[in-house]
Amino acid sequence: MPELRVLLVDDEEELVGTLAERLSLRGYDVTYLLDGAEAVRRAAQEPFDVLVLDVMMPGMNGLEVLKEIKRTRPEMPVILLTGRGSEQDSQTGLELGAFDYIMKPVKIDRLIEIMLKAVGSND
Amino acid sequence: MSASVSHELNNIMTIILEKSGLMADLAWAMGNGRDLNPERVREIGDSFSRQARRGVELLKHFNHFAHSVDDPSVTFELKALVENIARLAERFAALKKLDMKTELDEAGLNIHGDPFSMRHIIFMCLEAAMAPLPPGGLITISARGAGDDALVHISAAPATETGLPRDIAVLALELARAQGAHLDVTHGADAVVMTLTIPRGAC
Repeated sequence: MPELRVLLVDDEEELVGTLAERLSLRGYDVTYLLDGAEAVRRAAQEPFDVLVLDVMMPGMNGLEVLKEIKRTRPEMPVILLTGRGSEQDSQTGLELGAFDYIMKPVKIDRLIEIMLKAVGSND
Repeated sequence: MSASVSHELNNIMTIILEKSGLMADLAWAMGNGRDLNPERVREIGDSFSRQARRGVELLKHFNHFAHSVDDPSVTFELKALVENIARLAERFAALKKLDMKTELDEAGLNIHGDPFSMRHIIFMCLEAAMAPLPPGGLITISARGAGDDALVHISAAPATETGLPRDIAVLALELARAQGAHLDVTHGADAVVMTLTIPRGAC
């Protein structure tokens, strides 16, 4: 089991808290946040391996966070969480340097598969 | 509007699915010797109820909105209509980190007219009011009777230098006129207030 440090960001607290708990039960080291600007600040200071980021958030939205992260932590892979009908956002995210995107509802095994691929793990 | 509602419903269903997945995870962990606090199960059950209620409330308002196109000439209650459109606009306010308050004490304010067009006008006013506000701004919606008219006030605070987006405000003005209503905009020191004056029986 890789000791991945994951930063999860979504303004829906019940969703991000539950996803964090499910990943923790699988052995991942997860921090979750509800705010994009706070995510930019924490990502600059702490050695997260991967960022899982909701696109549609109040204040600083996911694409704005992505742009900033790619400026301050270009090596950190970012996986976007999107809703149905957000194909344009997903495409823009990929162009801005996101590693991949996953649509809500999230399948946790699929999310883990993408996270591991993003950090270059074969596990 | 429908994209915003479907997005919120997708979020609700996603939470329910994740909580359901968490229950399966915890059951698996219990089967492998981990203790499970019964309080944790109750919390997850509460979350299912909370999210289901959130979805039902949203669908109720969306259903009222959908039925507003059924008849363009009916008598409707203004307070219920304003509450309906305010609830559906909440997500737009939340995405801009704005607070939204409704002051609708006066029930029984009946209007005869087109309930869909009235929703459209009020929503456009809300959209215009939200556009220039910074995070933390406040939108207040109120409705009251004034003689033969009904007044809907939409206040956006603080007042900003940017002002209301002209294209949306002009469209709202034209739509109001087409319904026999009148839209005024007042730029105060603390807030911009849009006042929609609706003849109670003539629109």
